[in-house]
Amino acid sequence: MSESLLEAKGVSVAYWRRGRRRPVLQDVSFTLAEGGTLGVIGESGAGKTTLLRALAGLARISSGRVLWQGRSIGAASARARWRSGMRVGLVFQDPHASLDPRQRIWRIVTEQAYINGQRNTARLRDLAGELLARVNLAPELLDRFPHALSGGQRQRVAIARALCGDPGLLLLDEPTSALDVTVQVQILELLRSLKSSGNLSIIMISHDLHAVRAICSDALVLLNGRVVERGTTSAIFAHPQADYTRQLVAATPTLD
Amino acid sequence: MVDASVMGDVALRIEGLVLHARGSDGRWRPIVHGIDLDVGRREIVGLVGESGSGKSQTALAIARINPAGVRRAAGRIMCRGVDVSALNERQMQGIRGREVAYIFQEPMTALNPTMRLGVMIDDVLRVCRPDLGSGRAEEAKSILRSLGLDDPEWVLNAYPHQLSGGMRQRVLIALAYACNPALIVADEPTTALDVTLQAQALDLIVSLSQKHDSAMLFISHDLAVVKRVCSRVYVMCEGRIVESGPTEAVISAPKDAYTQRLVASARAKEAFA
Repeated sequence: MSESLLEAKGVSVAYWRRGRRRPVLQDVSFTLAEGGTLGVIGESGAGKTTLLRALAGLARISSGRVLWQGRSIGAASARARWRSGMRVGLVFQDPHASLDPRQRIWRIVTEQAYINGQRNTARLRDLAGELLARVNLAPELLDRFPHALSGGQRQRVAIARALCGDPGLLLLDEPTSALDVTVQVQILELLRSLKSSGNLSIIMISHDLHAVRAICSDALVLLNGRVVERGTTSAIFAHPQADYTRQLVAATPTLD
Repeated sequence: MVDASVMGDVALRIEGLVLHARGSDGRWRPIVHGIDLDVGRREIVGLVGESGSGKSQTALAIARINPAGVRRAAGRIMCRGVDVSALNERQMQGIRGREVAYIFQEPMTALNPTMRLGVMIDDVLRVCRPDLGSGRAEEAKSILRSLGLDDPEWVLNAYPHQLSGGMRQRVLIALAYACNPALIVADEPTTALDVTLQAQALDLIVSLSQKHDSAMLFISHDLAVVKRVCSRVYVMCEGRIVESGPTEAVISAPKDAYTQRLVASARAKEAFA
């Protein structure tokens, strides 16, 4: 039995809008083992991003619990989570919007170390070089600004930034859907090699079933804030059970 | 010379189009290097390429709506036999929307956030369907009903932010067809949508194209999407058409090295397990 890294037990999140309480996530439960990979599949508005934000401590959980290595961290702030050893890296969908255009690449990827007190520029630059090497980017990019990089390079920078501080868990929010297909494949290959090279767990949300299958061994399907299907990714692909999942599999464009 | 009898079956013909873009140093450099492309009547033709390939600027050049830093340096663009490059700005107004309509990627930015949908739809119909007269309101409702929207009255009174992304894009798709244009240029029309909404939007495009007898230039970076709707495809790379042919043939036996890479990537993504 592998250790459970992250556990969600009946997690619900509600937002207030125009004085009315609107549930966006209802009773979501899963267990992610150390080194495990979980895909969260669903369309816009299904609650995928809210789930990721709740796990990262960026959205308030209205009921239910989140356990990190067995300890409840549901109500803790993102900062308190980091101190208690919950190391999480986040990667967002749009690498054009997620990198500060005024910062050089070495600054961007080492922000986490800087926040945690590392102010020695030489050390930060060394660290940045190591992080770029992990995502197969040349050290020449250290002094560039984001605008000088291609979309694929920018997403690699975003992944390098998420790897700063050696997180045990990467939370990926549609990491490939803003990219060209050739670049998507390169990013998926990078994530696969990171997954197999270290003790890294991954939760990835996407509406792209092929991208989820490339990275995640297990998956949840969300519809209107509820889990409608769960299982191994290959089983969901081959024998979708819920009506919605069947539609999703049928709607996914393929070359053949 | 173009033979008129041949042109009758061609909705769009691009000949030797060269586009220049002005760099930050003020100098003009070529970004599209003399491309040729045809779209027949009732045909849905794909133009595939990655970001920076020049496909979107080519699309904008058809109705001459490129941004200020891009200009046509050579070549001709014929819409149903009319050379749009020879028209003045006033004559172009008669082409835009009526002969050539566009569907863009982002349905949120393509609609005016301060206007109700009914007003926007009415504006389009007033300009391009003068034959409707006082029947415009009824036409607007029937367009919305044809999209599977049960409550057209509500949609007409709604602002864009009140509609979901999929609904907005379906409204934009329907508006493009409303004027019965000879050609619709769709630039990544489903890229911002989820997979299930994308499938609905693609089905809508195919059925409306058949119903209205219109031709379409369908621009995308995704070969799998192009395969769903396009009978023929052009592949564009770094401002050049590197390959063209029936979609099935291009995907099953790509000849150009770049197309091979594109197909290999799409297959690799599907083959990960």
